[in-house]
Amino acid sequence: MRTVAYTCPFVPAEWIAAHGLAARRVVPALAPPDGLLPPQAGMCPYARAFVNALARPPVPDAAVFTTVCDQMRRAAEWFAARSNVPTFLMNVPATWTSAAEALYSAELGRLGRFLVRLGGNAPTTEQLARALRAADAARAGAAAPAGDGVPLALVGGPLLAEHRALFEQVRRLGGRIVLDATPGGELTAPARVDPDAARLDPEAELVRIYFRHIPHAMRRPDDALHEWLDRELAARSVGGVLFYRHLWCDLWHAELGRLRERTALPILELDVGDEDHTLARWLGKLQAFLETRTE
Amino acid sequence: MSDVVRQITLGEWDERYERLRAAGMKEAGYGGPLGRHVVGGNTRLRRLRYDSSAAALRLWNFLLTEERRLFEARRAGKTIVGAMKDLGTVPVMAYALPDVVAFYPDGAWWLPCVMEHGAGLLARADALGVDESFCPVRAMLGAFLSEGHFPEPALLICSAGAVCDDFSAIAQRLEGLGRSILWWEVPARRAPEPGEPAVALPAGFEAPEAQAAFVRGQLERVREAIERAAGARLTDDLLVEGIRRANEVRGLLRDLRRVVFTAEPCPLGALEMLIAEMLAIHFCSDLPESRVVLSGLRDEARRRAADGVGVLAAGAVRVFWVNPVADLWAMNVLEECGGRVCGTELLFCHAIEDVPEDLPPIDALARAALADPMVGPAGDRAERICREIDAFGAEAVVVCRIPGASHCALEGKAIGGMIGERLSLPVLEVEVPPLSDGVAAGLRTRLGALIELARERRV
Repeated sequence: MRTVAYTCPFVPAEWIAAHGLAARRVVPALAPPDGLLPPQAGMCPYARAFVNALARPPVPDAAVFTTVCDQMRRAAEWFAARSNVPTFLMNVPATWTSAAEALYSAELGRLGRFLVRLGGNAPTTEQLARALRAADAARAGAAAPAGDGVPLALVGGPLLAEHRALFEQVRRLGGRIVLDATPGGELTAPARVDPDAARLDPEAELVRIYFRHIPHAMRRPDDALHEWLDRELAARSVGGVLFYRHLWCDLWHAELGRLRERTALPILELDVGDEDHTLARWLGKLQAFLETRTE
Repeated sequence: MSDVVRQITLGEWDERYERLRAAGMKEAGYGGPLGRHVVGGNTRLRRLRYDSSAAALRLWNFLLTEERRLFEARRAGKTIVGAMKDLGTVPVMAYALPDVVAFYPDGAWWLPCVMEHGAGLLARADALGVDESFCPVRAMLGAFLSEGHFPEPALLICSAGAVCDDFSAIAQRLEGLGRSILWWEVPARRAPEPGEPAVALPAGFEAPEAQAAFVRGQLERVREAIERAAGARLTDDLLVEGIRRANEVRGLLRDLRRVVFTAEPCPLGALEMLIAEMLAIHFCSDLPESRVVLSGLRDEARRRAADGVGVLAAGAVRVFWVNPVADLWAMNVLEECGGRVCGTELLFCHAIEDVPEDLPPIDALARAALADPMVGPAGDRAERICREIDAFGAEAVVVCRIPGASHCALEGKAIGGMIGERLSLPVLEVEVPPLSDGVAAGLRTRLGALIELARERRV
């Protein structure tokens, strides 16, 4: 089966699956300096890592980028010009208007035609509805970790592969991450599927659970992001926030100030540069942060 | 008034001002000696070298009195609209109504330079968590909070979507502080797919009709918001007339560019050209006066070109300049190194092209918005730059990175790559902070090397 790689949470894997292709969400590891896209001053480490991950085996049959940020939009152009992998740039609108929703829907249509050109099959209503139900069921099983540690939220930009270890690191230091509010985590999980709506008009349901539901630092206005955080931080009795951001990611960086104004919770900033392969740099500050929360 | 053609210091300008006045120079209401602006805090002016013409004096006074004129406009009961990010489209709509004045708060990005950090705007942005990893446009946050640089707009309108993340994030921070913003969206421009209905854009590119239709819908929202704020109907007829008047300004600017970028020796310095080009985006808050200012500059440049005189020695290396520079002084530095500017792409070339007058006005404005170089791929931008380099005969290119700007990480490489490939011209990337004194030696060395290389290629 042909593989379509993506990383953005606004790309519905079930849409790709419904076309008979394998959707692979790439969580890239920090890129070495000699990859397809070498380090550049001002370049987001995540966008660079994604480009370089696509260029390394196993090379996908196609790549889908989105316009959620300036750097990814331009990274798509860079990749398309230097790789033989068919590349699709999906326009994800920032605003919440009905026109923006229609544009997102039209972009799914355009993505669908790209997938058909790649060898996929345009799905029937039933095939798409089935794909929606299957993806929904797969997502339903996730639950927050149980335990006694200080409950923390992880908020910010998308995690690099090596930084998934943060969950275990925090646990060893006496905490536990009860809320993953990063793209790829709960923050950007689509809404639950309404089985009736999925049966009647699965495309409209797809747009609803993704575009109408997902808050993100790129949405304008971004109130939904902060309302979601207010709600979830309270619901999970979070005692502190780890704010994870990539250097040069303006969208998430600017949210930090607003988050500080909206919550009384202590916030520890974890910034990620192009050379931060390990968690060692953060160990001391994480330890101190958790100690202060325990006392 | 064009008896002395040279670049002079601020001190020399004030002496010359008295002589020009004694000789009967007529000034606008905002006129006066340039030196008075230093007293108002614009201390960077002491560092610059200026064109010695009355036309240039008028340009500088027009620019440096904008804040005052905006406050006067509000006191006079005009509706003040703060347009943000789109650089050229919303003001055309706003100025179509007689009692509306639109400006770009984005323009605050030059305040840290002009005031040599004296206003503390960047420190205010720092305090809000918007630090130096963002583009200097973060000074806008400080300007809003200080309430001293422009009146609080009755309406704030900001473009979203395919814009630079710095600005979008900063504007969102502003909204988070309690300002209400109308967000309108421009999608990332893409090439039409085979068989997909397409429309022609002012810059010579095409976009899918569906994208143009989307932007038309967004601009209708902008129209309604302006109508509500102004309490007046913004009819198609008014928009048609507004477009015609905006195009007059754009036409004057294109004339000025053509004369200055092609005449030998260089009839007008890069610094004045940079300021003149900025008038295109919101007419420096006074559309009729911007026409007068640009006419004066164009006529001065034409006279000089006809007389074969210039502000720089003949033979200066012809440089194409990409992106606006955060420190105005850098334009002087380029000329001191033996260069002259022959062509620019300052991120708002869509505000220099005419808005089509043979289309329904909202459609025409939508196409103009889609022609924004920031909205399209870097390859399109590079393509357009190559065309202009050809047209103006540039011998070298400076890509001026904007510190912290999200689009500069890859864009400069893409532009430089295409220029190198197609035109085999030397391309230099430089990064200029709002006050470049600390990096001046390095900047001079790099620009000097580019000029030297370009000169060698003449042989």
